[in-house]
Amino acid sequence: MFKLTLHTPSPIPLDLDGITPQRVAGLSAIEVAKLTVLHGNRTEPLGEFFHVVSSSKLPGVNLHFAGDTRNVKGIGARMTEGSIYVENDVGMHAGAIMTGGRLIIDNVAGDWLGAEMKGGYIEVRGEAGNQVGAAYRGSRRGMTGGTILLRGSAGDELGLLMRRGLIIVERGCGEFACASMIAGTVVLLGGVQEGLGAGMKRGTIITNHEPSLPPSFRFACEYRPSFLPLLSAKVQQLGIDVPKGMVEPVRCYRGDLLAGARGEVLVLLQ
Amino acid sequence: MLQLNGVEVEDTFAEAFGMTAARLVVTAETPGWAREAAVAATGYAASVIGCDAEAGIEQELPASDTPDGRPGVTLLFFAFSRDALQKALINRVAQCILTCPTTSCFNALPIDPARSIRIGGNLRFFGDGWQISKLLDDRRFWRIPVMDGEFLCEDVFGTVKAVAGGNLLILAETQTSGLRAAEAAVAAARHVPGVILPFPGGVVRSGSKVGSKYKALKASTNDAYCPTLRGAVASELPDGVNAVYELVIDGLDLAAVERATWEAMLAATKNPGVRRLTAGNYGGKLGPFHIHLRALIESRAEGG
Repeated sequence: MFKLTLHTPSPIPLDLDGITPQRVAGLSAIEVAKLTVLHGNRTEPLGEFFHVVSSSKLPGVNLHFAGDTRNVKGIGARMTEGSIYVENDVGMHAGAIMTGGRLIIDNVAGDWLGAEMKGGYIEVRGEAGNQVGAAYRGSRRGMTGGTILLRGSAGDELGLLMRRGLIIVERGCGEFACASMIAGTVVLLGGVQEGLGAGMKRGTIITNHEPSLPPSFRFACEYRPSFLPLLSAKVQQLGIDVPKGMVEPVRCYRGDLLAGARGEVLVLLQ
Repeated sequence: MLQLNGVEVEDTFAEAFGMTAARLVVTAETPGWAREAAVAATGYAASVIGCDAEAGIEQELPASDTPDGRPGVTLLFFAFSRDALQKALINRVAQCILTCPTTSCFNALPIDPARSIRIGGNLRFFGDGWQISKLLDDRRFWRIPVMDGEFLCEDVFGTVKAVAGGNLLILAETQTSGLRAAEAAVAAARHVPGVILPFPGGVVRSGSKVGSKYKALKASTNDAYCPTLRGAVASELPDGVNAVYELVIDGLDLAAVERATWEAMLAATKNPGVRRLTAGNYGGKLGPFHIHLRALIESRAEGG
């Protein structure tokens, strides 16, 4: 296990894409410090910016980031296994395209958190920016697997074009959440804003606030979805208080009618 | 001849066969509706001689023990092959569980991808394009829209190599005493997890032998145990026996079948009018599993 403490913050973004548990496995601290990172348009050794020491303070964690990492991008990007813990804020693209492992961010995450991730688990204990679990511009696939848990709120375009996986947000999100969603499950607690599910093709959005849906959604019924108890159990496993409404009947809206109406928005009644 | 609770036990063995088995959990809004679905899905499933599967209710589950926190039952199904099992289950789940109010259907065996069968994944087409797939922790479920909401069925079910055809014959003085003993034996055997007794009420009144004087028939009445034929055929019935009932036991593994056989033996021999217990076999030449009644008595007598 390594502790990487940022000793030289920079206004120019530092991109740590590629500094992953699988990359550092079997290396010494000195060898890790020699790994290269992008600093703006330059390639520099990691050690220019981080003190790298072996540490066993957090058992089970392969990479522990400390210091002011709010401008550090790509932490956990493309990771396939292992565990990363970040003490403070992180920049954009944290956990992007990851396929496995655990990424825990103890504060705020920037935009594009978990973008196009395929597997693994991300937990942010503060807020997250825009495009959580989203597809990059021009791509047809957002998050396709894994789980993202946001203890705070999220920005706009959460789950954009998502194609599977699970996102849970405890304190609300911004506009156009799950826009053009193709598949996946998103649980939005704490409020949603305009444009929820606009253009969604399939997938499930669960919210505990009556949303302002696009006009191309229709109320279907009140009923008790059989799969909700299974999802509730999963939510509870993640340490979240399950809203009582998840085991009661919900209001079901179908949409987007402009995209085939195979998506659903389930509104918890309690 | 052995003895158990003062009853003769023939020193013989039951010959059982390998089959492929699946275990389902069916849940519903109430225990009553779960039971309705279970009874329907496991009906007409006494023997693979003439049915597409052998099936039965393994146990009822309280809500706390089911995947969705609703009352449920576990069902076991046995067939000669995975393909046959899949075909039988698709039909049974579609006609008897999907159709039953408020039910959901889950797999209850570990999944080995090389040995799994696809149930929900084949039923999903009933949704006519409106079905929804949900993947939770590597388990896929299909949500099929139906008139009372949705039917939830797991995509893929596990199977195991199981044991079928364990048996026990109860030779009794009268039909009444034989039947009482058989009922007690069934009740005891059904407490063993991993086991079903697929015949009506768990009891066979018409045990069969292989072959027949009629070339078209695979099996015919077990004349050696028919009391009305004593004197006309080579009978296995001792004096004083006027009725025989058979228990057929299928289980997920040999240990379960052995334990169920033992529990049945214990229960049967505590009933008045039971003269002898025995078991059916084919000389050991057909089935790979031999359940020796002596071994059951001796191992249990030693506290095993």
